[in-house]
Amino acid sequence: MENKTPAIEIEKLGKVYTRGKEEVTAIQEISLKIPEGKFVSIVGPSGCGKSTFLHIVGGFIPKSSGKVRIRGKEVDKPGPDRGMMFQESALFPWKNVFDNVAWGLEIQGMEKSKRDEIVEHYLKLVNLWDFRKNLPSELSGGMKQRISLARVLAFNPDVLLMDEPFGALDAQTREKMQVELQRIWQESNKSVMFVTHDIDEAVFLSDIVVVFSGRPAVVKEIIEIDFQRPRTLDVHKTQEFMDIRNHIWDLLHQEQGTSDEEGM
Amino acid sequence: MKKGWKFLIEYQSLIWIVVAWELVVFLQIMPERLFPSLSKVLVVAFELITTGMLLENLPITLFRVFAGFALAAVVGVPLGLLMSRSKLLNDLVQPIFSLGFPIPRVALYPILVFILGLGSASKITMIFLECLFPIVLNTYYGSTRVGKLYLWAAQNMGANRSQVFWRVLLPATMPSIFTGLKIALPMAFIIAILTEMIGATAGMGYLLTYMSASLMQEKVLACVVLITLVGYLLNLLIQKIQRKYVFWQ
Repeated sequence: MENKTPAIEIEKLGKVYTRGKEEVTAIQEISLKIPEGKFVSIVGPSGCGKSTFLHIVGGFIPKSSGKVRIRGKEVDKPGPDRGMMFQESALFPWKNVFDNVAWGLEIQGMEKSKRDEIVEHYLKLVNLWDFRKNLPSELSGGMKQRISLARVLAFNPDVLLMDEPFGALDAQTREKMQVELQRIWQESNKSVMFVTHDIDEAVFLSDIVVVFSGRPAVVKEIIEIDFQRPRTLDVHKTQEFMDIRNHIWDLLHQEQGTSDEEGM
Repeated sequence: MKKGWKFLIEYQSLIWIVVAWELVVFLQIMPERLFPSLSKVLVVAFELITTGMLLENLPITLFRVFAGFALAAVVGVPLGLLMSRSKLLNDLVQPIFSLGFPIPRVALYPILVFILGLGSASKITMIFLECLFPIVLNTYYGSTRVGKLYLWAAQNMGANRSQVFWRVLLPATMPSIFTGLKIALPMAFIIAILTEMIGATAGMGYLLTYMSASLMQEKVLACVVLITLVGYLLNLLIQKIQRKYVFWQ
């Protein structure tokens, strides 16, 4: 296991912004390995640069230093090897659900019959096949994110990158989506890098939780979580869950404490 | 019945104008020669249709309108989109549009006539120039405001630059493009008539000037009524097209 190429390998990644004449360090230096098939969450205080970090891994914004490798191959541009899911729905409002999911496959030149088969498979996987002819504007927030997940899975990326995908949903929908995501993830067997500010969500979903410090971001702690899968929402009530949760809460709270003092 | 009532309420402001008009005529506030009754105007308008004068002139005007408008759309939409993508192009072109916008461009018409003559060419060029501004500016500002997530999602799915441009940026900007087109089309019609009034041998503007030479106001007003009607229909047309292409809003 240890010697295998990691699904995602980040080596000494740094990000410095120039704001006017000032140089702002958003990410100090982060090295991280995400093993094949694992679900890894990144939590950190808000504004710590965890979304920036994910966008750099996705290739959407340039990094200042370091390297990102996907299955050993260095990348610095967006590409279908990394399936990205955003906080807000990025579904095309002018395409119906079916065509949205088919879009990536069409762009990549896949023939129609094969394409239709794949789209059908993933729309059924997220239980929204009946809504294939609807426009995104006719769907609820939770449904849109399920479609987004189907769209990403359809083009079969090596890894999934998820940027607070349930951040805009209400608490109940959110829990349902977490259970759904676990089910779909277990079927697809993909490596996931999941950014969230919700500790419960991170602990519930992940094999590994990476805790970032406040700005400039560094890795503060890496926590392995080995509850049995599939997990049910009841896992929230166990003592181990609460212990891990409280530990992460303390880590983040220390952070916020120090940044508050800085503010004063 | 209900529909007719709704229609009446929607257009009630027009009814007040008609009533006020007829009142002015009835009370003889202005001499009839200068201010003919609406019924008289409508009779003349009807005559213009039956004698074929409308059919002789309207197609020529419409041809100029659509030619100039289409040319402006074909050039303006890609230009506006490209300006939002390329800083270099934007730096080169933006000053022309910012400085050129407040210029009364019709003032350039005599120069265009000098170069292109009094026929359709000078008029189409004038309409093209006039329409280019709202189309380019609305397309440009609209496409700078397209959510970056759409573009990122497309790149993520492996779309190359031209696929992102034509298959994401263009449809995502469509609502703003139509805002520009909806401003441009009536302008095209107005400029066509105006330039035809300045100098032409055919067209609705020509007909209007020709009629006013008779010094009979009902003939001029009949032309105005017909022009208004055509302008209204043009507006309906572009709204229909908009509903077809921007169905998701």
